[in-house]
Amino acid sequence: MILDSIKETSRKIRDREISATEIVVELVHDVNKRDHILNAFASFNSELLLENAKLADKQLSEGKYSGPLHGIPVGIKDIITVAGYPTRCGSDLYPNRVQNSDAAVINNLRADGAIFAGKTTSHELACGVTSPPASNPWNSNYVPGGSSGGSGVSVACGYVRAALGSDTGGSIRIPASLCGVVGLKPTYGLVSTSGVEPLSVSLDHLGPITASVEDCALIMNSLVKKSGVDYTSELNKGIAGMRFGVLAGKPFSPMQPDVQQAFENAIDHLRNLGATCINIEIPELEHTLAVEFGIIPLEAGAYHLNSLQNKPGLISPSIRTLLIAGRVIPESIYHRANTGRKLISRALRRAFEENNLNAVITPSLPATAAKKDQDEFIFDTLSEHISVSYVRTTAPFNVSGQPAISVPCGFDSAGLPIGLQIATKPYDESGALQIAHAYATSTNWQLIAP
Amino acid sequence: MTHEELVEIVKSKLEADSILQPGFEFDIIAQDFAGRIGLDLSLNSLLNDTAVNEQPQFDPSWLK
Repeated sequence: MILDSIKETSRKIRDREISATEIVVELVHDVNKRDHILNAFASFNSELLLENAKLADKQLSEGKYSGPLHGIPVGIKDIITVAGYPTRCGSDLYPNRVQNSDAAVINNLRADGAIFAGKTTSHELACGVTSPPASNPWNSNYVPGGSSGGSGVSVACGYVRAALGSDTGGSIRIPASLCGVVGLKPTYGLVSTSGVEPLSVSLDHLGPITASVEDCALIMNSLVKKSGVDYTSELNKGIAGMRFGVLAGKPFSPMQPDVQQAFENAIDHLRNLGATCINIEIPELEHTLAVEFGIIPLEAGAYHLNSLQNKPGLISPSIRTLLIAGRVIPESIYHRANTGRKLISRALRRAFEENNLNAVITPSLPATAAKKDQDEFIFDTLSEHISVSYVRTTAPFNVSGQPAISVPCGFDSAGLPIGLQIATKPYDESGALQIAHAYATSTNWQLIAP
Repeated sequence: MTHEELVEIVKSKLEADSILQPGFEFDIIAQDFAGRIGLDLSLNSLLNDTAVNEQPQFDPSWLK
């Protein structure tokens, strides 16, 4: 179990207080002991992992220090290509697919010295919010969220401090919220998706799931190689004088009472830190799901056409139905959804400008983790499928392309985590991290482990 | 449009795409199809906005 931050672990490795091999031996022991229940990893090659850890230690002994992630194990969602590892995408379509090249983000992490702990469980084809067979580390009868569920679990249970996920409608922030860790969906296009199995190319984002906001900033430094950009540089500047829009109305309501209470407490806390919080309604956001669900099927159906034609029996029926929808619904739906996307994005921009906002704040999700056999949530009189509940608060920022981060902000009465979502202007990841760090370090939620 | 008519539309489109398989759950696919058409219709109130043709906003200058 890795308890120290990435920064501290990195320092210890560099100063030879601990070796990468020692860290990995403990990780392997922990995975062997617990992962038959948690199923965070879809594939875990302990021999390869130990080999890479020993190599990292050897390089250090020869004076070769790769960078701030030297010897740090990172979990990789099983839709991201890592040379030598299988990339199964949680699907029977790709039972033994091993590629020889790395995704662009893997190249970046490798260049900074990271080693790869294994491939984390993904919901089938990154198209779902439950990620079976992975379990929620707070209660294994509950789902960890998805589609990057294994990444959320691997961080929450302490196998690793960081993992990569993808997010088309919330798939980084959903497991981050349900597992009680930090998840950042960066601005659309900022982090390369080259070498990653797509779901819906115009909505897909890649980003980190981490144990702390500081860890998240460090991983972002590796994912985004831009000269002069250091996502850790603004972390400690506080939020006094900032203005936040608290989004109310649809699609953020209704929500569970425990979520509502934790959210209101979080807003009070942000005010106590010196921020101004004003309530805002953006009526256009009510149409988020019509836009999101108007785009995904056509893009996903086009990508998976060959599989639909030749191996449809290897796709589970619910996902096959979605992919088939992409082939049968009129293209006009796609075009109308993209027009709606422009209008939603414009409405968000207008809200930021007219109210002089640094960020908008919402609960990450309207509900905590669902039981594994649960299909619906009941909110007062409204019955809603869990995939709709989990996506309606996160998808607005896939549609707009803005950065959005989820940080832990409490627990429900059953002891399941609740997340707070902070969305900033395009390319203002530093702002999102700064706000999240101010909140996280002045509360103790991100320090509580299952 | 009746459910049976929707099923026929689904079958003809899948046949055109060479996807048609006897094991497919056409009733469920047709229900899903109808649901998506309904969801799309809910966009009407948004798309009636007069400023539909304004530029999309993935503009980095927004940050400044």
